[in-house]
Amino acid sequence: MPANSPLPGYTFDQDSARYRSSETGRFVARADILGLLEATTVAAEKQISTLTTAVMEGRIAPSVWQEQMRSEVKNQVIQQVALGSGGFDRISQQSYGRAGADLRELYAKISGTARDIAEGKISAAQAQARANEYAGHARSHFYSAEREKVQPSAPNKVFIERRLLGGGGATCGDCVNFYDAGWQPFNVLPEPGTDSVCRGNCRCSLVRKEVEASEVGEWIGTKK
Amino acid sequence: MTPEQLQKWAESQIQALIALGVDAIDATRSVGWVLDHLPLGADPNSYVFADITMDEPLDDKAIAAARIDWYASPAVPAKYKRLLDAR
Repeated sequence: MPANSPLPGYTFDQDSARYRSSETGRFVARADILGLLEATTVAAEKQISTLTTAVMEGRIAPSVWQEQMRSEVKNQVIQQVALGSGGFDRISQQSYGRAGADLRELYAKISGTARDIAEGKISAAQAQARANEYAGHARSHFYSAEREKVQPSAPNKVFIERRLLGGGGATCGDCVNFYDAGWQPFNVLPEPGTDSVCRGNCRCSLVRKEVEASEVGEWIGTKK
Repeated sequence: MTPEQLQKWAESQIQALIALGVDAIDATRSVGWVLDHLPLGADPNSYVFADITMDEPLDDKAIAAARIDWYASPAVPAKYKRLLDAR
């Protein structure tokens, strides 16, 4: 995109690990970043659902569904890694490695589901449930990439994290347990979408706070 | 299938994807990938690719595709289109 684009540009502040608008000089609110994460995931889920309905009704071939799924999940994973990393140019080798390994697992699952569809072994509801999980899988990559970038602002400060529930009445038991753990030291809670039965369907988020290292004990386990 | 039948099949799949809201360029690319990787003599209506065939490196081409998809996505508001190209 050219420098004189009419669309607003951004920089990524390495120290605070936050995006900053080049136009206003203001940081982009994390709520907006999480909003983008949610909106792009929901859009991918919708598209994948449409494709899955079409393959189950015989309007597209399983091979074409498979390729569309492959492209969709790959784009999603790369975009969410980039969103958490500070842009496409800041994706670390570690994040690339994690994304590549995860995509290989997803491709195996997509191939298995394509085979089941081709052989008429699964219902439309089962196909939709599986596809929906694949679509939401990229979400965890945002949180992993973001964790790599954040650094405390001073030696006497540390980050603590807390899980917030996002699944409404459908929240799984694992996520409720993570929520009940309250504030925890940085990197202790799993990224939403991992280590829980809801997997790619997880709608939780992870919030972070920087506190004095000497005060961490007052926060751990609380929800204040 | 004969080459002519394969071509006809590809056209029908592209049209079906476009009808589902996939843009024409992506629909053509997607069906082209299927044809490029389809083993000789395989029926494209029932063939399923092995996961190893689907795996391609996360290289510049993959990043470029993800960037195009981000810019084209209606889920990304105009003010955030350039966010992932942050300097």
